[in-house]
Amino acid sequence: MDDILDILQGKYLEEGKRLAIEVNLILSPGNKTTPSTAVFDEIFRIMHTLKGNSAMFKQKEVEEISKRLELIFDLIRRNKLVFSPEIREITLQSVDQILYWLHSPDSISRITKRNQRNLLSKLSKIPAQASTQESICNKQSPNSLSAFGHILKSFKSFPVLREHENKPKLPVMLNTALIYKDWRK
Amino acid sequence: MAKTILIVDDSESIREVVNFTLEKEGYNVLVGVDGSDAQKHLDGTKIDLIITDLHMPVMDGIEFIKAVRVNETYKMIPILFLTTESQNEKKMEAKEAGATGWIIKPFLPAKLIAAIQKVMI
Repeated sequence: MDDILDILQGKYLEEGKRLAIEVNLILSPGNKTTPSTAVFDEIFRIMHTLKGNSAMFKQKEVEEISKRLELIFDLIRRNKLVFSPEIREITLQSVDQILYWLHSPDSISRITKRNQRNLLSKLSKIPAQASTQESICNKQSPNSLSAFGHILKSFKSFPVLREHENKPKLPVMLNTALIYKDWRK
Repeated sequence: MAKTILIVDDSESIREVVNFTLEKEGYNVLVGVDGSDAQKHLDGTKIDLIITDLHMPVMDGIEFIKAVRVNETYKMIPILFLTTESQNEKKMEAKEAGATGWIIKPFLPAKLIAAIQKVMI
């Protein structure tokens, strides 16, 4: 059992490193391509994946960084925040920090902890630069983006498949309890 | 006969975790790395449940759910989306597309199985 968990953990670390390096290559000063919406979409998706995977594998430090970057790049890709040299720089620093955690998940130095705190503080301030700061931040604060539900969420009211309402009765879900009507008969 | 579940996620780690959890419970597992890739399984293969991520390259989860719902063979199949996404807007979009429900990551394997058993009657 432990072997399997080790394998799964290894997959997470390898995938995380590959994703972080991908962002590094996209934003590296040597890359002359002008960042476009497609690039911002890609970075957003990478950070979203890193956040989710890190939460699954309990790598809180990587999750904290990627959660903040996910929010920043979500704002950028939706034209609510301007991509600036400052954001490029802090993103690259963040990716370095993520790579550090992924390479040495079990060795935490005091300097690394301090760097993490500084980085998180800087990252947290960036969304405030967004033109529609208040509404966006209220809607997508780091807390609201975190996922610690551990339970099946369900839509409070169905019809699930509105376009198929003429078909047999559809599943009905109420709160967190799933109640299925016998719609297959 | 073992039930078959299709997992669609661009993250290898998550696919592996879900795959491991489901196979351990005796389910057959099919895998797609994004919505477009997962469509190769919608060829008449018996599938009892789909679990899909939302944010994926090439074809995202919403588009994939829509594609499933217009397929005569699979349009009534339960679909759960497995996501870290907590925005109501996205959930509503998935609901409109035809999702049955969602599971938030990180999840406990036991909770995932419990959710699957509830929707897969």
